Amino acid sequence: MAGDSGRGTPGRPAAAVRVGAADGHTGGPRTVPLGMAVLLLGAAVAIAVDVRGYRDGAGGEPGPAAIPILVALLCAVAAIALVFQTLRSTALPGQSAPSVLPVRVIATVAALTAAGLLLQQIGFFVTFTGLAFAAGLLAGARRWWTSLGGAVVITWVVMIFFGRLFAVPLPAAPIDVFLGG
Amino acid sequence: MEIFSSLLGGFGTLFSSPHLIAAIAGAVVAGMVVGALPGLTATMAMALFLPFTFLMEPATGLAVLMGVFAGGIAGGSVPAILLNVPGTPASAATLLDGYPMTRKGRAGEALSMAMFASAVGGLVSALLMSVLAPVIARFALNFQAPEFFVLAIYGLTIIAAVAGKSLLKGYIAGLIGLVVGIVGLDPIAGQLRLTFGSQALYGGISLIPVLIGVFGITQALVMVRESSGVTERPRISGRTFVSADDLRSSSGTLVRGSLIGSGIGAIPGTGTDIGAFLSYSEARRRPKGRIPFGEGNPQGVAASESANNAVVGGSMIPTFTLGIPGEAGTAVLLGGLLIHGLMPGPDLFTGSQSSLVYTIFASFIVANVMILLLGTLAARLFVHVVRVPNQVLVPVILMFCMVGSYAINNRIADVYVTVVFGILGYFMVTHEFPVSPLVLGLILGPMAETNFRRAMTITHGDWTIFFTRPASLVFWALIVLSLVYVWRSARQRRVQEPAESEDSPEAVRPT
Repeated sequence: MAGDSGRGTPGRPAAAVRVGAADGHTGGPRTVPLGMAVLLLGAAVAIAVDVRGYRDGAGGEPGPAAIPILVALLCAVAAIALVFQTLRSTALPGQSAPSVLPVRVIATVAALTAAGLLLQQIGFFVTFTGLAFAAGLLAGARRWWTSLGGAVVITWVVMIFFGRLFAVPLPAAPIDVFLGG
Repeated sequence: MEIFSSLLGGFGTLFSSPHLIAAIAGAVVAGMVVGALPGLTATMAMALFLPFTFLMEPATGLAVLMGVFAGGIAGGSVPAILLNVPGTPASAATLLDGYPMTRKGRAGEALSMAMFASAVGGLVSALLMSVLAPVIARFALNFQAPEFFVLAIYGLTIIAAVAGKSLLKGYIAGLIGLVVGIVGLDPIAGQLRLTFGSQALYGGISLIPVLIGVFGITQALVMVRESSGVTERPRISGRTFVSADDLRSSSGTLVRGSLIGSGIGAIPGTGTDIGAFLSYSEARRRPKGRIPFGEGNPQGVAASESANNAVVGGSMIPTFTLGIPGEAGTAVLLGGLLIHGLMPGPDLFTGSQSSLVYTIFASFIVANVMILLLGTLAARLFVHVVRVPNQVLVPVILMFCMVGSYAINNRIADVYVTVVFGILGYFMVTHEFPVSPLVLGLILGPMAETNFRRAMTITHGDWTIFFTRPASLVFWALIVLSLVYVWRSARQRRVQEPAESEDSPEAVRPT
């Protein structure tokens, strides 16, 4: 499939890059599948609660609740199957638990969330310079000043390009206006 | 004849607007650059560019998407040949002979052959698409709600085909897509569903932010986690252009690869990697010439690259004519059609918008010609592209994702959706839950429900309508065949797994 991920290294194709080679361990190999099962069960319960208020079909045909109920049932069945599959699976001897959330990933998610929350408060330039700076450091930049310089340049180019060329109304603070955004 | 005059009309539109040609050239280069970066895919490139195409004229925006798609698949051959790393899964078969050619000092020829084969494959599939799509669409004009419902169910069953290692995980990803598709106003009665009082959810969860999240943000998080870029310094030595002898000996392989790829692409649920490997195996069965396959035979590169680019054209046939995206790349393309107000399906080929469709087809043909020109001329520059470090790529990808998701509707809620689905996608791909079924579920779920309820309303709840119409019966037969195939493949995999698990660790192979 084209929708692939995983940046490989020479002699180690992207398709074969092993998960769990990074630092920090927060959770084991069963945490995420079990979490996914909980998510599915949660979705099933939410649908079951929500459909109680739906109208019926007018002329004997299925109403707006029909497909959601079917999907909820499938979610519940799939969740149970996933729990069984996960609990039955055993890790190979010597295999360590894959790291689910290395510190770098948590920090990147935090940076993304902060950017989403702050975008309209402090404007595009400051928010995205901060995001790009943090992302550069978290992706392995060795010198902070090169990461900061790169972040400033990239953000400014993106701001001018999309703000001016495509007329995207990016959230602006005084500094954005000053820089031509 | 009408088809060719329409296609000529498409070329007329393209060549009467120089900015369209320039946009396609830029898109091909951008797609090739992203495809050349190991691990970054054509799908991700399309997802990143998608919101910006919304800011362009429909013809320009969709031509750009076509250029990025074709360029991205072709660009994937670069790291496969230079580094033994497939830039995209589509190029996994290319490295089998491409990298040995590099080691023998023939990297320039291998790259040139890859670009030539990509262009041939793309052009053959584009011509087939231009001829077959209107014919299929004309036939599909007879379809009504029952047929479209069964067709959507067929599309949903192919989730199993794109599920990767675990069928259950594939179906779970698809179910998540279905749940997401339920949110918002129901398509027939206007009932609010799963909004829990939030006005932001009344219109449902948009496809585009989800696409950007699961393909863009997810990829950036995976790169942050691995944080190991390419350290090797590849060199291109020897001749830059493929020899006339190699071209002559590969001509049959190129034609066969193009036809195999086009055929495979037209079957939903297959994908570029399957087309490339099938074509490669077919080439191996034939007289191999002076160099054995696997040791730097240019025919190996030709077989793989002609087929993987041909799959692109083939896969657009069901997407344009029936609204069924067979895989992730065409799902993003379908998103592109939707944001420009084009509803994929047989109606696309009738009425005022049909001229736009032929402009899109013509732009795909032009994009493939540009792959040949730009790819061959700029081959030496790709050495620098493959070495761009993660600390540069990650900030750029994240920024494009955030700005892109905001730019569609200028809504901060879309940014949150992108981030949430990026995080969800990260957990999924790192635990072998494929993300493509999520996207297919989100697209096909509402299509299935709308047509199901429409058919039920027309017949006052008579279920037999889904089993009494000829086309529906054909689709039910296809569904049964797909399920049998999937079941047999899963059984074979279970038999093979114990042997493989002894020597191969769990791998990131998200789809």
